Amino acid sequence: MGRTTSRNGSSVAPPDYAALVRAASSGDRSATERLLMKAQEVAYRFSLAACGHSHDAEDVMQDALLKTYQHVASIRRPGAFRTWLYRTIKNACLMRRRRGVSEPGHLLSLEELLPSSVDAPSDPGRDPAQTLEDSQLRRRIGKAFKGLPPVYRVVVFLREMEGLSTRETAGVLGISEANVKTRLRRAHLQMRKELSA
Amino acid sequence: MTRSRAHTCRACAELLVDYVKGELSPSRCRSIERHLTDCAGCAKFQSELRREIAACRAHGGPSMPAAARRRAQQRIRRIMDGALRSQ
Repeated sequence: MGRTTSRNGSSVAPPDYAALVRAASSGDRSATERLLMKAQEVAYRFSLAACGHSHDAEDVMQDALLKTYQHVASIRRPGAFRTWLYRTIKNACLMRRRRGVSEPGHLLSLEELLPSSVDAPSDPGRDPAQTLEDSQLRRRIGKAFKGLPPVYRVVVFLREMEGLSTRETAGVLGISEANVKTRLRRAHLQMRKELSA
Repeated sequence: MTRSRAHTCRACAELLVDYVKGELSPSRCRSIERHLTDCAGCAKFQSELRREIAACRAHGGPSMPAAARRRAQQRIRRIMDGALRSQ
């Protein structure tokens, strides 16, 4: 699978969690550290996408760190780790929301929603005008994404930005595949409206 | 725009995301493709939607600031060192 690594080290395409989990569960310290960092990073980004509060994101990160650390030695199906992680993070976000600790919160800043790849070096073979246009579109996407209701934002995050399938997204969010498709469709239509305004 | 065309455009707009994501049955794909060859407006909408989806991927979502990354690394060090000490 093609991969793009952004300036903050986050990946547009899903990383190979299964290999990392296998190495970590066999006692590889470096793999465990990388897995724990990935878990926190995904938790931070998911939490921002779902709740829009960076102070919640820090707590959700700690939760993901502890649960991943406790869970990694007992993992039987490394291939299922990724959806387990997203589900764990989603539940942590939900718990915080139920406890009402996310209000009032620090709203997602524009800086945090800047495209991950906005400062990436441009391809020298590309048309500079097209590169500029794409970069502007990514910035506007960030704003349109921010404007989505959380239930749509989290589906766009999982499907388009994290590269989960419809089935995986449904599993993480505990909704039907038809519902994932409906939310994604509505999210894109809403973003389209925002982008063409 | 005729009323029947407007209806088809509406149905097309409803299905276009699924079409672009490759999640429609072959028969529905053919029906959408027929409409796209006849309707410049929906064809334009489709190409804009494809660009939007590509831009979402390129955007990558919210980023993790360097300060949060440093705190995450410190937490990992603490948890790993604690595990070593307890062994």
